Amino acid sequence: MMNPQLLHVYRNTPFGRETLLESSYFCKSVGVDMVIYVPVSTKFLMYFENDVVQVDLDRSYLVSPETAEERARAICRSQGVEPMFFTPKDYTASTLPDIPTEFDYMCCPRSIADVSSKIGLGYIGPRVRRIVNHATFPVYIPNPVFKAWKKVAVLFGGSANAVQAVRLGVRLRDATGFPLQVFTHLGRTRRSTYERIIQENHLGEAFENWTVFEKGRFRDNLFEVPHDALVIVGAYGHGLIKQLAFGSKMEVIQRVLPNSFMIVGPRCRV
Amino acid sequence: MSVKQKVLQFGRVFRQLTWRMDQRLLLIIIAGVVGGLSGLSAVILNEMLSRVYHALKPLHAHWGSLVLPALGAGLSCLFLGYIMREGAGHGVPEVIYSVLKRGGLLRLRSSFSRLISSTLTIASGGSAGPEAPVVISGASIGSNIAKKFGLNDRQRIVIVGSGAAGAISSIFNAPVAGMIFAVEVILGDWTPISLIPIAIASVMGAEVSRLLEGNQIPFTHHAFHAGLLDITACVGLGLVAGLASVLFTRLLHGIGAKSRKMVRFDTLRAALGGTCVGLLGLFLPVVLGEGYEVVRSVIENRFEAGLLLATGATLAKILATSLTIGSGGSGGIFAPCLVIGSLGGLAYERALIFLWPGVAWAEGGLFALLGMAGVMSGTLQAPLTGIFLIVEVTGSYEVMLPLILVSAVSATLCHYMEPVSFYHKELASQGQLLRPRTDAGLLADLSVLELLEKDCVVVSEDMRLRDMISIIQQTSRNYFPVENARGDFVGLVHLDDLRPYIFNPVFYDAVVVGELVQSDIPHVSPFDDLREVLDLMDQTRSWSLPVVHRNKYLGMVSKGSILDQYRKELVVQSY
Amino acid sequence: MYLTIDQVSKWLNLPVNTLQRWVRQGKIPVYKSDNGYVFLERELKDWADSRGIFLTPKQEARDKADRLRDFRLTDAMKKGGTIHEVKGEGVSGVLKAVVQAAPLDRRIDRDVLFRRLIEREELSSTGIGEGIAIPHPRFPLADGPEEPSITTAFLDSLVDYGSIDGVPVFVLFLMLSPSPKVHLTLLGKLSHLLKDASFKRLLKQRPVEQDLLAAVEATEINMDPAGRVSGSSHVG
Repeated sequence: MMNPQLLHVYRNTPFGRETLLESSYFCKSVGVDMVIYVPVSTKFLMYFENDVVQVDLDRSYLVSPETAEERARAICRSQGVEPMFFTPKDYTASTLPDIPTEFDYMCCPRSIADVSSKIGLGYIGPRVRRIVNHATFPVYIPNPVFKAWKKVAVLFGGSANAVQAVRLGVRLRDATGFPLQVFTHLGRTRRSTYERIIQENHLGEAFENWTVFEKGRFRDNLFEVPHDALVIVGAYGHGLIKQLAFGSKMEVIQRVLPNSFMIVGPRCRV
Repeated sequence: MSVKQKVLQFGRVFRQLTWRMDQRLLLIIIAGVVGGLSGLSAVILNEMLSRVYHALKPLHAHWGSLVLPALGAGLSCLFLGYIMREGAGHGVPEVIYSVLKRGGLLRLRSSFSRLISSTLTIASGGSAGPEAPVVISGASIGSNIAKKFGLNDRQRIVIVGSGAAGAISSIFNAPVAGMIFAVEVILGDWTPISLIPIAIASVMGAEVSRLLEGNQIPFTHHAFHAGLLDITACVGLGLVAGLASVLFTRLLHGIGAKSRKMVRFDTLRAALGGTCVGLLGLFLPVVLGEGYEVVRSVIENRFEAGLLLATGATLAKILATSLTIGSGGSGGIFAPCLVIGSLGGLAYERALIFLWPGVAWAEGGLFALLGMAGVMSGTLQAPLTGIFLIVEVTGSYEVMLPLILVSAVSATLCHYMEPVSFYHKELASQGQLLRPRTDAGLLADLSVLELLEKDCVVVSEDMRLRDMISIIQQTSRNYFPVENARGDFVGLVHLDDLRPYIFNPVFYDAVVVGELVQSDIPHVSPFDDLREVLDLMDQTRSWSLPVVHRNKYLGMVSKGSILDQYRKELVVQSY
Repeated sequence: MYLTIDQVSKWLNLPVNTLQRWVRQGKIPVYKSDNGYVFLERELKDWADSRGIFLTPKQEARDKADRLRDFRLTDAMKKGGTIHEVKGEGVSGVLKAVVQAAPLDRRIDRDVLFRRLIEREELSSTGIGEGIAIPHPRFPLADGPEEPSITTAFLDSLVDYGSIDGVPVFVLFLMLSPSPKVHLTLLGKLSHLLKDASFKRLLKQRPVEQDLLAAVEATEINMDPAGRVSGSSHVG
């Protein structure tokens, strides 16, 4: 059967090289085919089931297109991955290509839209959020600088998306052979509540290595997450107001942790 | 509460709320709201246009008319490209594309971006119409409201059509024309389930415009009388209108393509186009702006022009509009069509008088009206929209007969010379004009992955014939895909290729599958268009083809399964 | 009743991705719930009826096919039973005796069955050689059995059955099947079984039912549904 596919939007700059290295490493470890889109214009559309998201790239994505494919191929091959290149077939308008959304993973820099100087910790661009919210695939948010990961860590908060995140964790564990570790910050919820959720979803075997923080601040506890782990989180799918008022756990997580992330959105099919 | 209970309770509540009938009712209510809102956006654009136009009027008198169109077009291009980050194009094809291919999904930003950009273009003197911007705004408002209600593609398309209908019906105060435009140009699908919400939206759009701007008719009532001779002359007018439409369509495209090659920088291109329009406007001010005033004066026989001037004005308007829109200005071709039609009709009447001065021809206004319908029918290839718009905006049913005649002749001529209209040309050239219920539309829905047949038994290249025999017994298929040791696809073995050997045990250990394989078999990728797949099948006269991805065999796709699914798709088209 | 997308995909015999597209496009009545899509059985049936779409609720067709595959030789032979020392003159004589003695379904008209068997033998002998014959009616009986049966009958004396190799017959397998498909499946299995040298040796000893069934079962375990020995072929 067909391998799963990861979509990577290539940027022909040193930053882009690092993210592509991350993606290639992911593809190699998980056994995923790499599909690279070398942008033909600064914007593209992604049509999801019930929304259309326009992704605006900055000009750096269009830098020296003549070397882009060559370089991207070389970077992938250095990780032992043979990439496919995607050429848009459909255009909504002549400068607005449509990128299909039937991929199994998509790699987004923390902010796909803004100039590289903005890419740092603690910021996930609004476009990436919208992609996460609508996508049927998990979104891979790589490190700014390539670092090989050797573990899979799931931050499990009990929500439906978190359950999906655990499922994805199991899948990646099985595909890579790396150890899986689950972390839960209890907060005000009781441990038994989590255990019930685990039981209802038949996830027992994923929790063999389960670290539960009973006290302490959430952000402090995150220190325990291994530095060489790919971190999987469920996007909590809060409404806008709730997010403004309380902020989301995801926000804290990705501000504190420098690891690469896999974010599982509410419509993600794992 | 268990999951099952939840589902059960949910189902009960949901069924009570949205019974099948209520789904339709819901659709009608949403359509009404959308029609009203898009009507409102039309009123807003109208208001902005007239305000900005009047504010700029003093400037027009002096050096302004030369520089302003360039400035306006450049600004509008900057605004669209850098602030709104919209793609190029004037909008209506985008709406049609979205309806045909993307279930009517449109971006939120489209609901207002073009209102502003077209104000900049048109109020500064660019020759373009405000209808296309309003249509895309209305459609986008509809699409985004439909998103909020979580409607499915089919319902969303109806709501998008409702938005377009509301917009047209509001801007012309012509509800029937709005409805027909939405169905004829945007949706291309006449089903009662879509007609009713669209009609409601049309009414709401017109009602909003009447409430806010008064029940004014863009072009005043005027009783015309058309004699037998006039009606005969209409055939000629139809031909003239048709030719003008063809010229217009070709020039629009020609200038668009040429200018993109000559000037790469969008804003500069638009500004240059604007300058040319400004130059034209210096000599013939009638070409500037959306031109409703010109149409009005022509219909009321206030436009003083001889044969040459009228003809020149017609051609100049065609050129000016092509320059404005082709170079990247923002606006539609709806209003320019009306202006071109009215001027062309006038020129035709002048020509008639010149040729047969003794005959008592009907007045110029009538020919102008008929010319408008003719050019609309020809350029948009939407004769019904043309006819009803003219009838409605002029309120005169007396001219129905010549109107139909002119529209029919013009549309036929255009269809002969330019098979697809301006709106659809781009889509058609990309093979994306996938009207519902057509072969292309049905095939575009299906994907190779959905049709994959996986019941063929894969054999390995170095398998002996003896092992093949037992496999033949097991399967009902005549094809055996062959893989090499690495699991890569090598080719197919057909039962016919084996037949000479399978009945002779001598070959059982002597023959290896690899020796019999047809390796030059064409194969398709899982992401290929089904039309390409069918073409390939016809070319190679094969009944089924292997689907191969990255050298790996995935399955077969056959005409049989395509037909089966094709029929199912056809059957479920109506819901 | 509520159905999930997976169930509906089986009912309609469509891939799930096609169904998901239909849902998105609004081509099939569906409700959205917290955990995916829910279909209402009654509504789905109306929808399918009005469009002439073939629904196979509860997978009737497939179940049937699955049942077909599961017909085991051992079960059929157990049902048909074993009879020893059958006496009779010539083909018709022994067949008559077998039909009378076999533990058959009560609904079966033994006279009709006998006539059918003779008709079949007149067409061509069912003796397959090496002293074995597999008499069976040409078409399934009108009020035949629901389950197939194979009656093993050891003859008292050798009978010239007109077999291809001319060897007189010592054992008959009377086969009754509900459908030609089942018949062919079982025939395939049986003929495979009869190729087995040790089994043939056992037959010659005219074993009691228990021993016979044990031997059949032992061989059948290694057989795939169509009667071939599994493990020898490469199936991708």
